[in-house]
Formats: sequence, C-alpha cells, structure tokens
Amino acid sequence: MIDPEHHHTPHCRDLLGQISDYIDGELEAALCAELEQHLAGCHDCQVLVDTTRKTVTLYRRYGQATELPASALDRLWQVLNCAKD
Amino acid sequence: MNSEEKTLLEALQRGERRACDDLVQKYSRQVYNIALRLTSAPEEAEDVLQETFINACRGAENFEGRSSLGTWLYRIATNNGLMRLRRRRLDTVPLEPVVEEDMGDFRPFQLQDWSWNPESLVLTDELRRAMDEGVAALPESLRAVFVLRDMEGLSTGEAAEVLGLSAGNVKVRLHRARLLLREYLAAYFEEKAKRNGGKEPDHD
Repeated sequence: MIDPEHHHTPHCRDLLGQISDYIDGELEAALCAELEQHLAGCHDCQVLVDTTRKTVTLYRRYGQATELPASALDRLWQVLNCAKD
Repeated sequence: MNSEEKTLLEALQRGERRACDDLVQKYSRQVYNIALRLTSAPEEAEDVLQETFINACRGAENFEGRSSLGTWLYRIATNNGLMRLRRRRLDTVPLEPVVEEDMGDFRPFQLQDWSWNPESLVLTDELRRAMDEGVAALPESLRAVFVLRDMEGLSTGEAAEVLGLSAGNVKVRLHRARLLLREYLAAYFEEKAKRNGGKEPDHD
C-alpha cells in the first residue's frame, strides 16, 4: 500500500533530485552509496527509480526505431537539387 | 571535429554538390527525428528538415568548425524547430505566460510498479501515440533537452552545445522532463491495464 504522505520525508525529497544522475551513472560515489542504502529500505523510491529508468529505456528504443519516410527524403533531394541549380 | 569531418566541411564550404549529399546521407534521419519530436507534426518536421539542409549547405562558409558537423546541424534543426513552436504559440496563446521549467513542489503521484521489461515491450501504435503525446505535453525548453538526450542519444555535453546551455542546466531540465514523462506513461499504463482487466502490455 502506498503512503501518500511518504514523499514528504526529507530523504525522499533529496532522492527525487538525484535519480536522473543515478540512472545515468553520473552520481558521485558517496551520494550513490547513500542513495542505494536509502533505496534498500524504501519501496516507493525503488518504484520511482525503476519506472523512471524504464521510461528512459522506452523512449531510447522509440527514438532509435523511428525512420525518415522515403517520401520525405525524396522531397528533400528535390528541394536541394533545385536550390543548387 | 575529426579529419573526415574537416574534409567534408571544406568541400561544403567550396560549394561541392557531393558534400551536401554526404551530409544528407549521414544526418537526415536524426535531423528529421529531432524536428518531428519538437514540432509533433510530420509536415512541419519535413519543412524543418529541408530548411536545415538548405541552411547548412548554403551557409557552411559561416561555420568555423568549432563543434562537430552533427552538433552544428542539430543546432540549426533545433533552432528551426523551436522557432516554429514559438510562432505557433504566438498565433494561438498570446496572453498567457508560459511556465517553462519551474517544477515548484513537484512530487511523484503515480507510484504503481511496472513489472514489464521495457526492452521487449512491443512499441504498438497506441503506445507510440501515448509517448508522442507525453513529449508534446512537455514545456518546450524541457522537450528540446529530452529529445536530444534521451531520444537521439546525444551526450550531456553535446546537448548543451546544441542548445547553448550549461551542462548543469541540461541535467536539471532532463531530470524534470523524465519525471513528467514517467508520470504521463504511468497514467497511460494504469489506464490500459484497467481496460485490459489488469493484463500487462504486449511483449515480443
């Protein structure tokens, strides 16, 4: 059961500001150790980190999977050819 | 800028047709994607794509080569895309101030766990739409950072160079964008699970 007041605790509020650096592996060692210690005992913060990481992974996949439509590329070649003439 | 890029830039600056073609071959997909994510409109993204390569192929003599060719092109594309967004905003909502970045007292609201694996989740049309809507709902300054970093895979330093921001500012904006999109997707998955009687989303 999620406690709606849980994120009012100073520890979780601090954590909220650091999860992006943590996910990117850019959090300095001492803060990282402190954060992991906190995560071990805080289910809500674990969920927050895990779902943020999943969000990032999904968008990276989506970004890589998107192609330039062939028709748009054809029109780009046409425009550039006209611009050069 | 490596020696291959220097050669390409010099050819561009001499106005060689082949150099412009090489630039298109190498960067058009990513330029289009940046434009599409920023504008959320395929027709406008195509206009931005064309403007960007015309600007680059015609204006290469003004580029001093202080960044990579990619960074230079993404800067032109991002500026063209953001300019369109601003123009659109001026056309539609001239009176309201736009809250760009301040998250104030933001707290995560959706804290249900997601049991599925994002690596094998099927990117259905519906999910893509939801993801697009999430990005389109971001304030534009957060959107540009998120698109460059998390969708196009630029480093913090590259994104900072493209947008003319400090690395710290890029990190702050990226963090806020991620938290907002996490909320957006959490609401989508919760609503979808309700529709499907609690079933997980589709996997490969």
